[in-house]
Amino acid sequence: MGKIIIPVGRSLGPFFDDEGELESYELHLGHRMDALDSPEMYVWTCAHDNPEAHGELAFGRTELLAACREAEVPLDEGQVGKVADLLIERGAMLEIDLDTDDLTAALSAHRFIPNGHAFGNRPDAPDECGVGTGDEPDITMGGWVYTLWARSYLDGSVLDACEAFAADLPDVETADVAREFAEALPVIVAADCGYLEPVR
Amino acid sequence: MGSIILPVGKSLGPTYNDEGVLEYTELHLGSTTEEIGADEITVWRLAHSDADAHNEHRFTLDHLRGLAVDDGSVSDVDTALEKLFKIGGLVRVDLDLDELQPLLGRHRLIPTGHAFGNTAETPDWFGIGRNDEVDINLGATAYFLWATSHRDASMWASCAEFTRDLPEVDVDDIAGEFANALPIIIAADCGYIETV
Repeated sequence: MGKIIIPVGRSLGPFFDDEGELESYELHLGHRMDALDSPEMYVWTCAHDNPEAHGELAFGRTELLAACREAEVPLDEGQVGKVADLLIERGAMLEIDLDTDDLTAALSAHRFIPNGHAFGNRPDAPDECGVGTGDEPDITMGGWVYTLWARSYLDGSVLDACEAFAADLPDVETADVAREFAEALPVIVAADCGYLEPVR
Repeated sequence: MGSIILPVGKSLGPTYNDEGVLEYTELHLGSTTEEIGADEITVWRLAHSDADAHNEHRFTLDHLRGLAVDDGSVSDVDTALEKLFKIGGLVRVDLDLDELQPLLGRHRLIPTGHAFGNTAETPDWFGIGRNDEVDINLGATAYFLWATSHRDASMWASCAEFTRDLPEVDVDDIAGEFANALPIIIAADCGYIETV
């Protein structure tokens, strides 16, 4: 499948000091705040672009670079790559291959916080539940993912939540639940319907 | 000023069965999820309306009852209110007179929406909003607690943690600042509270 990029954390916007000078962009990363400079904020923001690619689990370095170019971010290819490395190192982005052990490590190290509205299912599509940031669903998901989207943060890490969820269902393995949720996460984050934060 | 009403929880929307028949609406309340009927979800939604009344701390039980009666679609307003109080989907608090520890100690705030930081012109105010613009402005303390308190056991725990390194700051003052901002945060759809 190759490595995909998922941004982590919630932006708390620019921080101006008492003299009206821009100090930094604050990024809430669970246990801590990180102060990003402008190039870092540009790249982190662009990592949320292109929900189609995120939905197809195809948002990698190439797509990040394309998103930065599209947004006319004033950084060249090499600079985007370096900033991306830095953000990954600092935990502000994940770069993972869902087919490897990276997945379990990432899900046990992060909690998911939902954002936006829950629309339930529909009479003509009872197996699909909608979530979105406005008055109608932006994305739909199956019942498992919907439940985890809404409640997983109560159990600690995403993996803890998947374990608790699977424990209630006979013949269902944690790995199956984790895989299904993990595959939905990129588009959920790109659609602004939730974000990951480090557990510790 | 009197007691005001705060809605608790997050609606998970309607649940239709495989035959396409509406069974119930699911209300996520944190420690529990409740299945509620049409009257209750309408009243619960109305409890999020009238942001001005929430902002001015005049969203009382009578105010909510009036909105529900005016809505016209709720068949039994008092029964719906009673049910919502019973399951914890509504709470009542007097922000001026009540001790805030019981309310804040029993609930956690989950932030939703966007954070816009401060501006060069008004560095003391931090904006949050549902979409691409600032809907409400908070002071630095409430902004920080809005963004981060979901990680703590309760809002009270967050306030206590906030003052831990600030011996000159009273936890009741921080709690008051946070609690005073809650009605508008919830009404502006920038967060919801849930039971811990």
